[in-house]
Amino acid sequence: MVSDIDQLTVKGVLREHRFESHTPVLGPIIVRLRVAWYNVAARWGDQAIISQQMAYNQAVAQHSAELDRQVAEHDQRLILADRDLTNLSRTVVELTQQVIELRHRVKELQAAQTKT
Amino acid sequence: MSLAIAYFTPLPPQRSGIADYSAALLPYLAEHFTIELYVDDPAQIEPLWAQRFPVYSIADFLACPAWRWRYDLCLYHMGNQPLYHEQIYRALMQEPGIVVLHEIGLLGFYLHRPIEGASPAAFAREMGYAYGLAGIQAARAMLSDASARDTTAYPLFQRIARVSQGLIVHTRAARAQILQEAPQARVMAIPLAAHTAAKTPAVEKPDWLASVPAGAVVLASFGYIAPSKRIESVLRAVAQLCDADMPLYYVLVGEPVEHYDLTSIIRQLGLEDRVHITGFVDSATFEAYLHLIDVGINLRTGPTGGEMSAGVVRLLAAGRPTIVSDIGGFAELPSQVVIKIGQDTEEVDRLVAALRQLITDPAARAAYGAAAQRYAEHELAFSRIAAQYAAFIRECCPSER
Repeated sequence: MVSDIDQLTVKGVLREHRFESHTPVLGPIIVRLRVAWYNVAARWGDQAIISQQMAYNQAVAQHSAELDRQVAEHDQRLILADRDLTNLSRTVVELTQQVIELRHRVKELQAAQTKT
Repeated sequence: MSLAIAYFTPLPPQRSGIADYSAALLPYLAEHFTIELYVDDPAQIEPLWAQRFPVYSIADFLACPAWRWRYDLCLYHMGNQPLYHEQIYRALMQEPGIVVLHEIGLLGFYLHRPIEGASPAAFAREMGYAYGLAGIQAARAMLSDASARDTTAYPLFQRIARVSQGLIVHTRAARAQILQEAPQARVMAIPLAAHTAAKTPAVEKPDWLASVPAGAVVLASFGYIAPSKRIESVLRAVAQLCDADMPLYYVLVGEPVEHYDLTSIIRQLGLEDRVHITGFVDSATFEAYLHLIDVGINLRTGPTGGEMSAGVVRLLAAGRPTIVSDIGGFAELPSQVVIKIGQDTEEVDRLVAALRQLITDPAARAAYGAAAQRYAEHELAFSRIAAQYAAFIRECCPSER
Protein backbone atom coordinates (compact mmCIF):
# COMPACT_ATOMS: atom_id res chain seq x y z
CA MET A 1 0.00 0.00 0.00
CA VAL A 2 1.35 3.47 -0.92
CA SER A 3 1.36 5.78 2.12
CA ASP A 4 0.21 9.40 2.00
CA ILE A 5 3.81 10.55 2.41
CA ASP A 6 4.99 8.35 -0.49
CA GLN A 7 2.24 9.80 -2.65
CA LEU A 8 3.27 13.31 -1.67
CA THR A 9 6.89 12.52 -2.63
CA VAL A 10 5.93 11.00 -5.98
CA LYS A 11 3.53 13.80 -6.88
CA GLY A 12 6.08 16.42 -5.81
CA VAL A 13 8.39 15.59 -8.74
CA LEU A 14 7.58 17.97 -11.62
CA ARG A 15 8.25 17.28 -15.30
CA GLU A 16 8.37 19.59 -18.30
CA HIS A 17 5.29 19.56 -20.50
CA ARG A 18 5.48 17.21 -23.51
CA PHE A 19 3.91 18.70 -26.60
CA GLU A 20 1.56 16.47 -28.56
CA SER A 21 -0.58 16.88 -31.65
CA HIS A 22 -3.29 14.63 -33.03
CA THR A 23 -3.48 16.43 -36.39
CA PRO A 24 -3.00 13.90 -39.21
CA VAL A 25 0.20 14.20 -41.33
CA LEU A 26 1.11 17.68 -40.03
CA GLY A 27 1.10 16.65 -36.36
CA PRO A 28 4.85 15.88 -35.94
CA ILE A 29 5.76 19.15 -37.70
CA ILE A 30 3.48 21.11 -35.37
CA VAL A 31 5.04 19.42 -32.32
CA ARG A 32 8.57 20.18 -33.52
CA LEU A 33 7.68 23.85 -34.15
CA ARG A 34 6.13 24.17 -30.67
CA VAL A 35 9.17 22.57 -29.01
CA ALA A 36 11.51 24.87 -30.93
CA TRP A 37 9.52 27.95 -29.92
CA TYR A 38 9.32 26.72 -26.28
CA ASN A 39 13.11 26.16 -26.20
CA VAL A 40 13.67 29.76 -27.27
CA ALA A 41 10.90 31.51 -25.35
CA ALA A 42 10.16 29.65 -22.07
CA ARG A 43 12.32 26.65 -21.20
CA TRP A 44 15.04 28.57 -19.29
CA GLY A 45 12.39 30.30 -17.15
CA ASP A 46 10.31 27.16 -16.58
CA GLN A 47 13.33 25.15 -15.46
CA ALA A 48 14.12 27.69 -12.77
CA ILE A 49 10.53 27.65 -11.51
CA ILE A 50 10.35 23.81 -11.64
CA SER A 51 13.58 23.55 -9.58
CA GLN A 52 12.18 25.96 -6.97
CA GLN A 53 8.83 24.17 -6.84
CA MET A 54 10.47 20.73 -6.56
CA ALA A 55 12.66 21.93 -3.70
CA TYR A 56 9.55 23.28 -1.98
CA ASN A 57 7.59 20.04 -2.58
CA GLN A 58 10.46 17.98 -1.23
CA ALA A 59 10.59 20.15 1.89
CA VAL A 60 6.81 19.73 2.40
CA ALA A 61 7.07 15.94 1.98
CA GLN A 62 9.98 15.77 4.43
CA HIS A 63 8.15 17.95 6.93
CA SER A 64 5.00 15.83 6.63
CA ALA A 65 7.06 12.68 7.11
CA GLU A 66 8.60 14.22 10.21
CA LEU A 67 5.14 15.20 11.54
CA ASP A 68 3.89 11.66 10.86
CA ARG A 69 6.86 10.25 12.75
CA GLN A 70 6.21 12.58 15.69
CA VAL A 71 2.47 11.71 15.75
CA ALA A 72 3.34 7.99 15.74
CA GLU A 73 5.83 8.59 18.56
CA HIS A 74 3.19 10.44 20.61
CA ASP A 75 0.62 7.73 19.83
CA GLN A 76 3.09 5.11 21.02
CA ARG A 77 3.68 7.04 24.26
CA LEU A 78 -0.08 7.41 24.78
CA ILE A 79 -0.58 3.68 24.16
CA LEU A 80 2.07 2.82 26.73
CA ALA A 81 0.62 5.31 29.24
CA ASP A 82 -2.86 3.88 28.64
CA ARG A 83 -1.59 0.35 29.21
CA ASP A 84 0.21 1.46 32.40
CA LEU A 85 -3.01 3.11 33.59
CA THR A 86 -4.98 -0.07 32.93
CA ASN A 87 -2.35 -2.13 34.78
CA LEU A 88 -2.68 0.28 37.71
CA SER A 89 -6.47 -0.19 37.65
CA ARG A 90 -5.84 -3.89 37.94
CA THR A 91 -3.53 -3.28 40.92
CA VAL A 92 -6.26 -1.16 42.54
CA VAL A 93 -8.69 -4.05 42.05
CA GLU A 94 -6.33 -6.44 43.81
CA LEU A 95 -5.76 -3.95 46.65
CA THR A 96 -9.52 -3.42 46.98
CA GLN A 97 -10.02 -7.15 47.34
CA GLN A 98 -7.30 -7.29 50.00
CA VAL A 99 -8.98 -4.46 51.93
CA ILE A 100 -12.32 -6.28 51.72
CA GLU A 101 -10.67 -9.44 53.00
CA LEU A 102 -9.02 -7.53 55.88
CA ARG A 103 -12.34 -5.94 56.81
CA HIS A 104 -13.90 -9.38 57.01
CA ARG A 105 -11.07 -10.56 59.28
CA VAL A 106 -11.39 -7.51 61.51
CA LYS A 107 -15.12 -8.21 61.88
CA GLU A 108 -14.42 -11.84 62.72
CA LEU A 109 -11.80 -10.83 65.31
CA GLN A 110 -14.16 -8.26 66.83
CA ALA A 111 -16.90 -10.88 67.04
CA ALA A 112 -14.51 -13.36 68.67
CA GLN A 113 -13.34 -10.67 71.13
CA THR A 114 -16.94 -9.82 72.06
CA LYS A 115 -17.63 -13.49 72.79
CA THR A 116 -14.60 -13.79 75.09
CA MET B 1 -21.53 -15.91 55.40
CA SER B 2 -23.01 -15.20 51.97
CA LEU B 3 -20.98 -12.97 49.65
CA ALA B 4 -22.58 -9.60 48.90
CA ILE B 5 -22.70 -8.95 45.17
CA ALA B 6 -23.52 -5.81 43.20
CA TYR B 7 -25.19 -7.17 40.05
CA PHE B 8 -25.06 -4.87 36.98
CA THR B 9 -27.38 -5.88 34.20
CA PRO B 10 -29.99 -4.90 31.64
CA LEU B 11 -33.38 -6.30 32.66
CA PRO B 12 -36.77 -6.72 30.93
CA PRO B 13 -38.59 -4.90 29.44
CA GLN B 14 -35.33 -3.81 27.77
CA ARG B 15 -35.40 -5.58 24.38
CA SER B 16 -32.17 -7.49 24.79
CA GLY B 17 -31.47 -11.19 24.92
CA ILE B 18 -28.97 -10.51 27.69
CA ALA B 19 -31.69 -8.83 29.76
CA ASP B 20 -33.91 -11.93 29.43
CA TYR B 21 -31.06 -14.30 30.20
CA SER B 22 -29.79 -12.34 33.18
CA ALA B 23 -33.34 -12.15 34.57
CA ALA B 24 -33.70 -15.92 34.24
CA LEU B 25 -30.37 -16.56 35.96
CA LEU B 26 -30.87 -14.11 38.84
CA PRO B 27 -33.18 -16.20 41.08
CA TYR B 28 -30.76 -19.14 40.90
CA LEU B 29 -27.72 -16.98 41.71
CA ALA B 30 -29.66 -15.48 44.61
CA GLU B 31 -29.61 -18.94 46.22
CA HIS B 32 -25.81 -18.59 46.52
CA PHE B 33 -25.26 -14.88 47.20
CA THR B 34 -26.80 -11.73 48.66
CA ILE B 35 -27.54 -9.71 45.54
CA GLU B 36 -28.35 -6.05 44.95
CA LEU B 37 -29.28 -4.92 41.46
CA TYR B 38 -27.85 -2.01 39.47
CA VAL B 39 -29.71 -1.00 36.32
CA ASP B 40 -29.84 2.01 33.99
CA ASP B 41 -33.18 3.22 35.34
CA PRO B 42 -34.85 1.44 38.30
CA ALA B 43 -38.19 3.04 37.40
CA GLN B 44 -38.22 1.32 34.01
CA ILE B 45 -37.75 -2.31 35.02
CA GLU B 46 -40.56 -4.74 35.81
CA PRO B 47 -41.80 -4.13 39.41
CA LEU B 48 -41.25 -7.74 40.48
CA TRP B 49 -37.49 -7.14 40.65
CA ALA B 50 -37.85 -4.37 43.21
CA GLN B 51 -39.99 -6.72 45.31
CA ARG B 52 -37.26 -9.35 45.34
CA PHE B 53 -34.03 -7.31 45.38
CA PRO B 54 -32.81 -3.85 46.35
CA VAL B 55 -32.53 -1.97 43.02
CA TYR B 56 -30.33 1.09 42.40
CA SER B 57 -29.27 3.13 39.40
CA ILE B 58 -25.82 2.63 37.92
CA ALA B 59 -25.44 6.41 37.66
CA ASP B 60 -25.74 6.65 41.47
CA PHE B 61 -23.10 3.95 41.87
CA LEU B 62 -20.75 5.86 39.57
CA ALA B 63 -21.35 9.07 41.50
CA CYS B 64 -20.71 7.47 44.91
CA PRO B 65 -17.46 5.44 44.81
CA ALA B 66 -17.89 4.58 48.51
CA TRP B 67 -20.83 2.32 47.60
CA ARG B 68 -18.28 -0.21 46.34
CA TRP B 69 -17.43 -1.02 49.97
CA ARG B 70 -20.92 -2.42 50.56
CA TYR B 71 -20.05 -5.44 48.43
CA ASP B 72 -17.55 -8.23 48.22
CA LEU B 73 -17.70 -8.21 44.47
CA CYS B 74 -19.27 -6.56 41.42
CA LEU B 75 -20.69 -8.74 38.64
CA TYR B 76 -21.31 -7.23 35.20
CA HIS B 77 -23.33 -8.56 32.26
CA MET B 78 -21.58 -7.07 29.23
CA GLY B 79 -22.69 -7.18 25.60
CA ASN B 80 -22.03 -5.09 22.50
CA GLN B 81 -25.19 -2.95 22.46
CA PRO B 82 -24.19 0.54 23.64
CA LEU B 83 -27.84 1.33 24.38
CA TYR B 84 -27.93 -1.26 27.17
CA HIS B 85 -24.28 -1.58 28.16
CA GLU B 86 -22.71 1.90 28.16
CA GLN B 87 -23.41 2.53 31.85
CA ILE B 88 -22.43 -1.03 32.75
CA TYR B 89 -19.14 -0.57 30.88
CA ARG B 90 -18.42 2.66 32.73
CA ALA B 91 -19.05 0.96 36.05
CA LEU B 92 -16.90 -2.05 35.21
CA MET B 93 -14.01 0.23 34.25
CA GLN B 94 -14.44 2.30 37.42
CA GLU B 95 -14.87 -0.66 39.79
CA PRO B 96 -13.71 -3.79 37.98
CA GLY B 97 -15.08 -7.16 39.04
CA ILE B 98 -16.29 -10.30 37.30
CA VAL B 99 -17.62 -9.80 33.79
CA VAL B 100 -20.01 -12.12 32.00
CA LEU B 101 -18.90 -11.43 28.45
CA HIS B 102 -21.91 -12.48 26.40
CA GLU B 103 -20.09 -11.55 23.20
CA ILE B 104 -16.34 -11.29 22.90
CA GLY B 105 -16.56 -9.17 19.75
CA LEU B 106 -16.99 -5.67 21.18
CA LEU B 107 -15.95 -3.67 18.11
CA GLY B 108 -19.54 -2.53 17.51
CA PHE B 109 -19.85 -1.40 21.12
CA TYR B 110 -16.71 0.75 20.98
CA LEU B 111 -17.61 2.16 17.55
CA HIS B 112 -21.06 3.30 18.61
CA ARG B 113 -20.62 4.35 22.23
CA PRO B 114 -22.67 7.48 22.90
CA ILE B 115 -19.79 9.63 24.09
CA GLU B 116 -20.41 13.28 23.33
CA GLY B 117 -18.12 14.48 20.55
CA ALA B 118 -15.31 12.07 21.38
CA SER B 119 -16.42 8.71 20.07
CA PRO B 120 -13.84 8.38 17.23
CA ALA B 121 -10.99 9.29 19.58
CA ALA B 122 -12.23 6.83 22.21
CA PHE B 123 -12.46 4.12 19.56
CA ALA B 124 -8.92 4.85 18.31
CA ARG B 125 -7.69 4.77 21.91
CA GLU B 126 -9.23 1.33 22.43
CA MET B 127 -7.75 0.02 19.19
CA GLY B 128 -4.37 1.46 20.20
CA TYR B 129 -4.60 -0.19 23.62
CA ALA B 130 -5.34 -3.58 22.09
CA TYR B 131 -3.25 -3.58 18.91
CA GLY B 132 -0.67 -0.77 19.22
CA LEU B 133 0.07 1.68 16.39
CA ALA B 134 -1.26 -0.76 13.79
CA GLY B 135 -4.54 -0.70 15.73
CA ILE B 136 -4.75 3.10 15.52
CA GLN B 137 -4.16 2.96 11.76
CA ALA B 138 -6.85 0.27 11.45
CA ALA B 139 -9.19 2.44 13.56
CA ARG B 140 -8.70 5.40 11.19
CA ALA B 141 -9.43 3.15 8.22
CA MET B 142 -12.57 1.76 9.91
CA LEU B 143 -13.84 5.20 10.85
CA SER B 144 -13.60 6.38 7.24
CA ASP B 145 -14.80 3.15 5.63
CA ALA B 146 -17.54 1.04 7.25
CA SER B 147 -16.69 -1.96 5.03
CA ALA B 148 -13.28 -2.21 6.76
CA ARG B 149 -14.93 -3.02 10.10
CA ASP B 150 -13.99 -6.57 11.04
CA THR B 151 -15.34 -7.76 14.40
CA THR B 152 -13.52 -11.07 14.24
CA ALA B 153 -10.11 -9.52 13.52
CA TYR B 154 -10.52 -6.88 16.23
CA PRO B 155 -12.69 -8.26 19.07
CA LEU B 156 -11.47 -5.57 21.50
CA PHE B 157 -11.97 -7.44 24.78
CA GLN B 158 -8.35 -6.84 25.86
CA ARG B 159 -8.85 -3.97 28.33
CA ILE B 160 -11.80 -5.67 30.01
CA ALA B 161 -9.77 -8.89 30.24
CA ARG B 162 -6.86 -6.99 31.82
CA VAL B 163 -8.78 -5.16 34.55
CA SER B 164 -11.34 -7.78 35.48
CA GLN B 165 -11.01 -10.21 38.37
CA GLY B 166 -12.54 -12.87 36.19
CA LEU B 167 -14.38 -13.38 32.91
CA ILE B 168 -17.23 -15.75 32.19
CA VAL B 169 -17.89 -16.72 28.56
CA HIS B 170 -20.28 -19.25 27.06
CA THR B 171 -17.97 -21.50 25.06
CA ARG B 172 -14.50 -23.00 25.24
CA ALA B 173 -13.79 -21.44 21.83
CA ALA B 174 -14.41 -17.95 23.27
CA ARG B 175 -12.22 -18.76 26.29
CA ALA B 176 -9.38 -19.93 24.02
CA GLN B 177 -9.61 -16.73 21.96
CA ILE B 178 -9.35 -14.57 25.08
CA LEU B 179 -6.44 -16.53 26.52
CA GLN B 180 -4.59 -16.26 23.23
CA GLU B 181 -4.66 -12.44 23.48
CA ALA B 182 -4.63 -12.11 27.28
CA PRO B 183 -2.89 -15.17 28.77
CA GLN B 184 -2.96 -13.69 32.27
CA ALA B 185 -6.77 -13.42 32.33
CA ARG B 186 -8.84 -15.71 34.54
CA VAL B 187 -11.55 -17.02 32.20
CA MET B 188 -14.20 -19.65 32.73
CA ALA B 189 -16.41 -21.13 30.01
CA ILE B 190 -19.89 -21.72 31.43
CA PRO B 191 -22.58 -22.78 28.92
CA LEU B 192 -25.73 -20.77 28.31
CA ALA B 193 -28.48 -22.17 30.51
CA ALA B 194 -31.94 -23.08 29.24
CA HIS B 195 -35.32 -23.84 30.77
CA THR B 196 -36.61 -27.25 29.76
CA ALA B 197 -40.31 -28.02 29.80
CA ALA B 198 -41.38 -31.59 30.61
CA LYS B 199 -44.06 -31.35 27.93
CA THR B 200 -44.96 -28.88 25.21
CA PRO B 201 -46.49 -25.79 26.80
CA ALA B 202 -50.07 -24.94 25.91
CA VAL B 203 -49.45 -22.43 23.16
CA GLU B 204 -51.67 -21.23 20.36
CA LYS B 205 -50.59 -22.30 16.89
CA PRO B 206 -49.49 -19.27 14.83
CA ASP B 207 -51.61 -18.73 11.69
CA TRP B 208 -48.85 -19.58 9.23
CA LEU B 209 -48.07 -22.87 10.98
CA ALA B 210 -51.78 -23.72 10.97
CA SER B 211 -51.80 -23.24 7.17
CA VAL B 212 -48.99 -25.77 6.59
CA PRO B 213 -50.40 -29.04 5.16
CA ALA B 214 -50.65 -31.95 7.59
CA GLY B 215 -47.67 -34.30 7.35
CA ALA B 216 -45.30 -31.61 6.10
CA VAL B 217 -42.02 -30.98 7.94
CA VAL B 218 -41.38 -27.44 9.17
CA LEU B 219 -37.80 -26.21 9.33
CA ALA B 220 -37.13 -23.02 11.30
CA SER B 221 -34.41 -20.46 12.02
CA PHE B 222 -34.73 -18.19 15.05
CA GLY B 223 -33.44 -14.71 15.83
CA TYR B 224 -32.29 -11.82 13.65
CA ILE B 225 -31.88 -12.72 9.98
CA ALA B 226 -28.48 -11.80 8.57
CA PRO B 227 -26.11 -13.01 5.83
CA SER B 228 -23.77 -14.34 8.57
CA LYS B 229 -26.46 -16.94 9.35
CA ARG B 230 -26.02 -18.47 5.89
CA ILE B 231 -29.75 -18.33 5.17
CA GLU B 232 -29.00 -18.47 1.43
CA SER B 233 -27.36 -21.90 1.83
CA VAL B 234 -30.43 -23.10 3.72
CA LEU B 235 -32.75 -21.70 1.04
CA ARG B 236 -30.78 -23.47 -1.72
CA ALA B 237 -31.04 -26.75 0.17
CA VAL B 238 -34.78 -26.19 0.72
CA ALA B 239 -35.22 -25.41 -3.00
CA GLN B 240 -33.47 -28.68 -3.99
CA LEU B 241 -35.65 -30.69 -1.60
CA CYS B 242 -38.86 -28.99 -2.74
CA ASP B 243 -37.89 -29.70 -6.38
CA ALA B 244 -37.62 -33.34 -5.32
CA ASP B 245 -41.21 -33.15 -4.00
CA MET B 246 -40.21 -33.31 -0.34
CA PRO B 247 -42.94 -31.91 1.96
CA LEU B 248 -40.69 -29.23 3.47
CA TYR B 249 -41.58 -25.72 4.68
CA TYR B 250 -39.15 -23.16 6.10
CA VAL B 251 -39.97 -20.37 8.55
CA LEU B 252 -37.64 -17.59 9.67
CA VAL B 253 -38.79 -16.41 13.07
CA GLY B 254 -37.28 -12.95 13.37
CA GLU B 255 -36.52 -9.75 11.51
CA PRO B 256 -34.05 -9.35 8.63
CA VAL B 257 -31.23 -6.89 9.32
CA GLU B 258 -31.25 -3.64 7.34
CA HIS B 259 -30.46 -3.87 3.61
CA TYR B 260 -30.74 -7.70 3.55
CA ASP B 261 -33.17 -8.38 0.73
CA LEU B 262 -34.10 -11.98 1.41
CA THR B 263 -37.47 -11.73 -0.32
CA SER B 264 -35.94 -11.41 -3.78
CA ILE B 265 -33.70 -14.47 -3.14
CA ILE B 266 -36.77 -16.44 -2.07
CA ARG B 267 -38.53 -15.31 -5.26
CA GLN B 268 -35.54 -16.24 -7.47
CA LEU B 269 -35.58 -19.73 -6.01
CA GLY B 270 -39.35 -20.01 -6.49
CA LEU B 271 -39.94 -20.63 -2.79
CA GLU B 272 -42.65 -18.04 -2.10
CA ASP B 273 -45.13 -20.77 -1.13
CA ARG B 274 -42.67 -22.71 1.04
CA VAL B 275 -40.86 -19.99 2.98
CA HIS B 276 -42.28 -17.53 5.50
CA ILE B 277 -40.61 -14.65 7.36
CA THR B 278 -42.51 -13.74 10.53
CA GLY B 279 -40.78 -10.43 11.36
CA PHE B 280 -40.40 -9.53 15.04
CA VAL B 281 -42.65 -11.70 17.23
CA ASP B 282 -43.56 -11.46 20.92
CA SER B 283 -42.17 -14.03 23.33
CA ALA B 284 -45.40 -16.13 23.37
CA THR B 285 -45.35 -16.49 19.56
CA PHE B 286 -41.60 -17.19 19.64
CA GLU B 287 -42.22 -19.92 22.21
CA ALA B 288 -45.04 -21.35 20.10
CA TYR B 289 -42.84 -21.66 17.01
CA LEU B 290 -40.03 -23.13 19.12
CA HIS B 291 -42.24 -25.99 20.29
CA LEU B 292 -44.33 -26.54 17.16
CA ILE B 293 -41.71 -26.72 14.40
CA ASP B 294 -40.08 -30.03 13.44
CA VAL B 295 -36.42 -29.11 12.83
CA GLY B 296 -34.34 -26.12 13.90
CA ILE B 297 -31.41 -24.74 11.95
CA ASN B 298 -28.81 -22.18 12.98
CA LEU B 299 -25.75 -21.78 10.76
CA ARG B 300 -22.94 -19.24 11.12
CA THR B 301 -20.22 -17.95 8.84
CA GLY B 302 -16.77 -18.60 10.26
CA PRO B 303 -14.53 -17.58 11.79
CA THR B 304 -16.80 -16.69 14.70
CA GLY B 305 -16.13 -15.00 18.03
CA GLY B 306 -16.83 -18.34 19.73
CA GLU B 307 -20.31 -17.20 20.70
CA MET B 308 -23.22 -19.50 21.52
CA SER B 309 -26.68 -18.78 20.16
CA ALA B 310 -29.51 -18.49 22.68
CA GLY B 311 -31.75 -19.70 19.83
CA VAL B 312 -29.82 -22.98 19.54
CA VAL B 313 -29.89 -23.55 23.31
CA ARG B 314 -33.64 -22.95 23.40
CA LEU B 315 -34.17 -25.35 20.48
CA LEU B 316 -32.28 -28.05 22.38
CA ALA B 317 -34.29 -27.38 25.53
CA ALA B 318 -37.51 -27.60 23.51
CA GLY B 319 -36.39 -31.04 22.27
CA ARG B 320 -36.12 -30.04 18.63
CA PRO B 321 -33.65 -31.79 16.29
CA THR B 322 -31.21 -29.03 15.39
CA ILE B 323 -28.72 -28.43 12.58
CA VAL B 324 -25.75 -26.13 13.26
CA SER B 325 -22.48 -25.14 11.57
CA ASP B 326 -19.49 -27.20 12.63
CA ILE B 327 -17.49 -24.16 13.78
CA GLY B 328 -16.65 -22.15 16.93
CA GLY B 329 -18.86 -22.73 19.94
CA PHE B 330 -21.38 -24.81 17.96
CA ALA B 331 -18.68 -27.41 17.27
CA GLU B 332 -18.47 -28.01 21.04
CA LEU B 333 -22.01 -29.42 21.17
CA PRO B 334 -22.03 -33.24 21.23
CA SER B 335 -22.58 -34.92 17.85
CA GLN B 336 -25.41 -37.06 19.28
CA VAL B 337 -27.29 -33.87 20.21
CA VAL B 338 -27.02 -31.71 17.07
CA ILE B 339 -26.28 -32.32 13.40
CA LYS B 340 -23.14 -30.38 12.47
CA ILE B 341 -22.59 -29.16 8.93
CA GLY B 342 -19.06 -28.31 7.78
CA GLN B 343 -18.52 -25.04 5.98
CA ASP B 344 -17.05 -25.97 2.62
CA THR B 345 -18.08 -26.23 -1.01
CA GLU B 346 -20.31 -29.20 -0.16
CA GLU B 347 -22.27 -27.36 2.53
CA VAL B 348 -25.54 -27.27 0.57
CA ASP B 349 -25.22 -30.95 -0.41
CA ARG B 350 -24.62 -31.90 3.22
CA LEU B 351 -27.64 -29.82 4.27
CA VAL B 352 -29.79 -31.55 1.65
CA ALA B 353 -28.65 -34.97 2.90
CA ALA B 354 -29.23 -34.11 6.57
CA LEU B 355 -32.66 -32.60 5.90
CA ARG B 356 -33.66 -35.49 3.63
CA GLN B 357 -32.89 -37.91 6.46
CA LEU B 358 -34.86 -35.87 9.00
CA ILE B 359 -37.84 -35.46 6.63
CA THR B 360 -38.08 -39.11 5.67
CA ASP B 361 -37.22 -40.65 9.05
CA PRO B 362 -39.50 -39.45 11.89
CA ALA B 363 -37.69 -41.83 14.27
CA ALA B 364 -34.39 -40.03 13.60
CA ARG B 365 -36.10 -36.70 14.29
CA ALA B 366 -37.49 -38.03 17.55
CA ALA B 367 -34.10 -39.47 18.56
CA TYR B 368 -32.24 -36.19 17.94
CA GLY B 369 -34.98 -34.26 19.74
CA ALA B 370 -34.88 -36.53 22.78
CA ALA B 371 -31.06 -36.40 22.92
CA ALA B 372 -31.19 -32.60 22.69
CA GLN B 373 -33.68 -32.32 25.54
CA ARG B 374 -31.74 -34.77 27.74
CA TYR B 375 -28.57 -32.75 27.12
CA ALA B 376 -30.34 -29.51 28.02
CA GLU B 377 -31.86 -31.03 31.16
CA HIS B 378 -28.56 -32.44 32.39
CA GLU B 379 -26.00 -29.89 31.23
CA LEU B 380 -27.85 -26.60 30.77
CA ALA B 381 -30.25 -26.47 33.73
CA PHE B 382 -30.22 -23.02 35.37
CA SER B 383 -29.52 -24.51 38.80
CA ARG B 384 -26.44 -26.31 37.47
CA ILE B 385 -25.20 -23.26 35.55
CA ALA B 386 -25.76 -20.97 38.58
CA ALA B 387 -23.72 -23.39 40.71
CA GLN B 388 -20.88 -23.08 38.18
CA TYR B 389 -21.14 -19.28 38.37
CA ALA B 390 -21.05 -19.47 42.16
CA ALA B 391 -17.95 -21.70 42.19
CA PHE B 392 -16.10 -19.37 39.81
CA ILE B 393 -17.14 -16.23 41.71
CA ARG B 394 -15.84 -17.76 44.96
CA GLU B 395 -12.62 -18.73 43.22
CA CYS B 396 -12.13 -15.09 42.17
CA CYS B 397 -12.78 -13.77 45.67
CA PRO B 398 -9.66 -13.98 47.90
CA SER B 399 -11.64 -14.13 51.14
CA GLU B 400 -13.46 -17.21 49.86
CA ARG B 401 -10.44 -19.13 48.60
